[in-house]
Amino acid sequence: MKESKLKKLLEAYKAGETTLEEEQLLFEQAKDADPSWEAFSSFVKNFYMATR
Amino acid sequence: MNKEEFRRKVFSLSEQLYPMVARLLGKSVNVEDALQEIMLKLWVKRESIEKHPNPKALVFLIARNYCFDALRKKRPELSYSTAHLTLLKSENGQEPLEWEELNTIIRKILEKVPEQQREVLIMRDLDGYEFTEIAATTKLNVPHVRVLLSRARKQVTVALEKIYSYERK
Repeated sequence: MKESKLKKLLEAYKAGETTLEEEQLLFEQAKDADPSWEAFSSFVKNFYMATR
Repeated sequence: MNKEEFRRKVFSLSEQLYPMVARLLGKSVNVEDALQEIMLKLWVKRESIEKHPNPKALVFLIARNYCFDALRKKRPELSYSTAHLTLLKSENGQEPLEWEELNTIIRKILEKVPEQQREVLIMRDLDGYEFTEIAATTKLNVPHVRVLLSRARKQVTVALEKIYSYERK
């Protein structure tokens, strides 16, 4: 994903304006973002796998 | 509501209820057993569910309340907190220490988020619920849920950025 698109999507995420599909995409593309987002995504993904 | 209608309207929601029940009760409880008990409770309340203007909302609320009651019986002081988050191990191959550190960092951040905001954030980001489902469970409207979620996400993001900005220095 392009950096600008990722940034835009992250802003929408913070505003609570993303869909579940977009959020899933954001969590999957975490490695392209900054370390703080990568950490949070890792936490979320772990949780997802543990509860399903 | 007969058996067939119950199966179609209520029992079919089991899959959607599973993540919330699993997260709230943690791994010390068999989630399938808990869901079975919830379904029994829902069967008893089937007439009220049928008459309710939003049956799905009521199902989620009954399931959530069942979990809280079960948790209170085990640990009377427990509320909708982050305590249960620590019970989980890494499922994607992270080193235990790395996972433990990350888990501790995020749990501490979440503890500082106001309860209602935290609840919404957990339901959305960890449980993967739609806004309408969160609104139904929390008895809030969707715009309010979005506002709470946005505040929670901003607080968590800022806190994480503060911690991880040191890594880049």
